[in-house]
Amino acid sequence: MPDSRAEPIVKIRGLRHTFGAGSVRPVHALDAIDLDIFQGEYLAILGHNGSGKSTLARHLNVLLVPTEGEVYVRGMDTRLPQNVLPIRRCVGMVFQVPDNQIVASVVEEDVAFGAENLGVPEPELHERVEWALAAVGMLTFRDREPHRLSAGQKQRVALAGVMAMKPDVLVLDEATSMLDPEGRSQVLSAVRSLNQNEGTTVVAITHLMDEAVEAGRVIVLQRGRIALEGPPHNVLTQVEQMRTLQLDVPQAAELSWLLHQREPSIPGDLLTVREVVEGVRLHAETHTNGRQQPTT
Amino acid sequence: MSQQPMIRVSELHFAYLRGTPMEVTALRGICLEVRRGERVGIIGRAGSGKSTLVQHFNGLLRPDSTGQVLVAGSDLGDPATDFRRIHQQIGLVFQTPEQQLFERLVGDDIAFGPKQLGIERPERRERVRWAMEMVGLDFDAFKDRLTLSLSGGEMRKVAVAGVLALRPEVLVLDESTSGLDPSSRREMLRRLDRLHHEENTTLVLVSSSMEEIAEHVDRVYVLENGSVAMHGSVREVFAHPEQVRKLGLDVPQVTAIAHELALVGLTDGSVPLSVPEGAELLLAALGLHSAQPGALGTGDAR
Repeated sequence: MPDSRAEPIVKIRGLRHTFGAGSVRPVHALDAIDLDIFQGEYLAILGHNGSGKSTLARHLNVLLVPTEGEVYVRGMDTRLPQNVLPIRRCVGMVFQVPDNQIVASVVEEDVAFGAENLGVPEPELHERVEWALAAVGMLTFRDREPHRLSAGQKQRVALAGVMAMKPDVLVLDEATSMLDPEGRSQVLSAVRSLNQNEGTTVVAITHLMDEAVEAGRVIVLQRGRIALEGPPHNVLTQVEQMRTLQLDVPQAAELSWLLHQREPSIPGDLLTVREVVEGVRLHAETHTNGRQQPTT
Repeated sequence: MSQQPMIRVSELHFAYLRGTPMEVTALRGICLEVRRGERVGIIGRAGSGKSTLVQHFNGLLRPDSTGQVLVAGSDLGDPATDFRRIHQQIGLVFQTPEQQLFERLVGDDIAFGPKQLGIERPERRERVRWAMEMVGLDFDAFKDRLTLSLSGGEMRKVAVAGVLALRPEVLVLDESTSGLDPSSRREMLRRLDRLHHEENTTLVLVSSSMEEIAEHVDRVYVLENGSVAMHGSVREVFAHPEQVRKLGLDVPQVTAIAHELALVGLTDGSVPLSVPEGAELLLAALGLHSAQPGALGTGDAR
């Protein structure tokens, strides 16, 4: 849980972003966002297409600068040109399509590329590459050609490349949405261990519920504003409200909500498969005594 | 209606870069059948051969000497086959259909296929209008829009409409909904269901979303390393979560919940495919609702 007294690693105040300002049809992508992200946090940012979530992510490593308001990373103002490089050293980003981020013809060299450009010297560079490849479970692929890997493997290579730069904040922009279920769980478990074991702050932009459930805190954007905020359990179980925001909820949460409508003694805020299974078992044990069991 | 299958694939093998040191075997003896008016799902982990397989359905890739692909009886390995007709019968939409757009205006892009088929102007216009209506694009509002000014979701609709304007008997969607946000995705699937009901269009859906497969197809083939590892009705396949997970996939959460509860004897082994089905099953199991035995099937039936 974020400590409200600690200085946030990312501080956003009154952030507005307008595309095509001064044109006939300016688009206000972000509208007065206030947000603190704390060291070691795992934050998921949800929202339907066009809600502003990718625009927000691009402010975290100065791919965009505010039209109005301020963004600070480790106290550094993103509007000042001299802060751009130190901020990019601090915030690493993984995008949706891994092919666009792979630069070298051997996995190992690709992973080393970013860190090498930061000037990491040789013995340490080698260690970092090995550590990053091991963390994403790709060490045995170090001598392979990246373009012959599967999409999930490529995405893990892209992630390792960012990890080798040892960013304080890792931003994942829809990084698992093109992957199959196996590739997705591989990438998510690598990210989870980075967050838990290395204390890396993770910001995951997503519309996939498997990813949001991993987070410690979820914010939902709508029309460039924060519409909902809280732990996954509080946000993702608000089935009706999530629907009006054009978002899905996990099937387990929707099932729990539907059961609760019909039978209020079943909790309506269960979020995972395990919780629903346990909830239904518990209900069966405590409520069906004396009630006729269906004999089908 | 003819009993002849719409698509029949037998003993299909395929290797990329055959005869070179880079040779990669993608398909190893696939047998599959798609009946007329059926909705068939093709699933499997990345690299299992799904896209290679569906590209054989309209002759984009040709079978080697041992395998055979028949489309409504026509052999796609036979050079004498009329491929113009095959391309009209089988419409293929890829994962990033945005890349299939090339005309400046939306209406022209959708009209391109029918024009190639030699269809005259008034009918072409009607087809474009119908195809746009099917995908949910207003004809008058969108026909003169620049294709490059559209959002990602709208571009996909245009790409699908362009294929629909050919009036294909089979629509093959290769991950065409992945990357769309949930509401656009749901809308597209609803429209495909409508197309299936109203026009009896045969649908082949390649997808990595198990929820989508559960709710929108009748039968499913699971590929693994270029072979068919499982096939059957969706309920039959999803009745075996452990086996599905070994193939790098998963079952929908609601199916997994029912399976876990069946293991402890709380439910009867029914296989719910949607959240409302799951809710009915669980309420019945808790004695809160009159059960309809066998309504969902057990996955072992048939």
